[in-house]
Amino acid sequence: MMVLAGAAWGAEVDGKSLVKAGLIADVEGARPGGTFVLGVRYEVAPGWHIYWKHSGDTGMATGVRFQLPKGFEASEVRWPAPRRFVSPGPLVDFGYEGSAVLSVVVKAPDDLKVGQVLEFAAETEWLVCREQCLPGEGRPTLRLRVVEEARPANAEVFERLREELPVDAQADGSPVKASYGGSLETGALTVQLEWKDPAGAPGEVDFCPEPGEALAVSGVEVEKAASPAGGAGHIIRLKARALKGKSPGEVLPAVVAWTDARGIRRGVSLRVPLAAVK
Amino acid sequence: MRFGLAFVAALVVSGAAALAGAAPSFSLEDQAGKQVSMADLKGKVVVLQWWNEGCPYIVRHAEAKTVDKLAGQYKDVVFLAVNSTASATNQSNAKAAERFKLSYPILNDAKGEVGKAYGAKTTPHLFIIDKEGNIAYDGAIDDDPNGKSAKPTNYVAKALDELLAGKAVSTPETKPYGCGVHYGE
Repeated sequence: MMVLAGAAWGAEVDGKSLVKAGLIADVEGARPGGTFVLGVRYEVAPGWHIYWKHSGDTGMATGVRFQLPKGFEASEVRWPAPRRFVSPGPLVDFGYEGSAVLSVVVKAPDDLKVGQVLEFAAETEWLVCREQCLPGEGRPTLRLRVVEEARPANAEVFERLREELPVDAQADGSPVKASYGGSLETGALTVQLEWKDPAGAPGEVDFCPEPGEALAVSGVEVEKAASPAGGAGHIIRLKARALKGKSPGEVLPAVVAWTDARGIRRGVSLRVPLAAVK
Repeated sequence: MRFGLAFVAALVVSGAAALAGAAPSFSLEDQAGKQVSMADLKGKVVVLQWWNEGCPYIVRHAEAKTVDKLAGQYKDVVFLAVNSTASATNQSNAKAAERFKLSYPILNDAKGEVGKAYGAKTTPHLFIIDKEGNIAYDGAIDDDPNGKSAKPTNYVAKALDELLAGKAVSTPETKPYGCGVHYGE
């Protein structure tokens, strides 16, 4: 492996030492029939980043699979709102710097015995990049005792995570109203965002698409624009095309992400229609 | 003014070349300083592999001789590595070729013009140019970015088989994987 001069994180730099991956829960113990959050917390060396579920033009989506004791169920992996990284080209990627938690909501079976010790694990692999890129992997584990009352753990981390998880744009609690225009057929799509509370509207927002294997997104432009009702808004314009020989689905999922006044990364998740909206 | 705008547009990775069909022409030096021009390759099938020996995906494939094996198998096809890393030189390309005992040349595109004309995003990013000079394949080298599959599908081999049999390429485009091409500012 190449030795990078000036690296502050040890003489030998490899994918593992640039990223620490630990398994944490938001409870100190597991209650029979209870639910809790289980997550891998990635701590990334300053200046480096790992990737979102859609890495962008380059890089590699972080992979994570949770291994649970018998009878446990887990939700899909939840991805916090990502950051946008641009390099000369331009090449646009999405991911995380500092620390990030990829988590699932876990439901314990009813038939657990208080005092029983449960072992949880996660298999994870990532690509961590700055100018260089280095692959890494880990299999962090966590032991939880079965308890009658589950006390909270890692409260700060999970409270922060709650704020960083994107809100469905169509949900009642969404800070925006989203409307769409254009179509895959014309190759140009637009997203119009209207902020319900103009005082809370961010200045800049990032459009983070998940095009999948059949669709290519390019030329994303974001600008502030008053909404049709005269309130705070943004207009997002993008180009989309199907890869040769492929048929995309009906929607382009995407997250609009921004950093709020307290420095916390937030987002709303959208489903941009690919057929012309009537 | 119009020429100026067109010049600026050419310096952006747009991948528009793939859409248009015709493979952008190039004339670049290999690591020995020899000029390699697309014009000289008329009528041949050409495979371009975007290259950067600082990238673990390139190292993995170079050590596994993924493309070298193809070069040995498809003797009438021209294989070329293209290095659009801004800091690359003929010398550093020569070192890399020696390190991996590469059986095909590395072309110096440190200016990034050819990379941007093709829309090369990652290393590796593979393009196949057919005998008519059109882009027949644009994308990943295979379907196994993590190198964990026992039997990966090599999209390049598949496309070459189809081209040489006179068939249409069944998978003409995929998303490339790898490190970003290190274009200059």
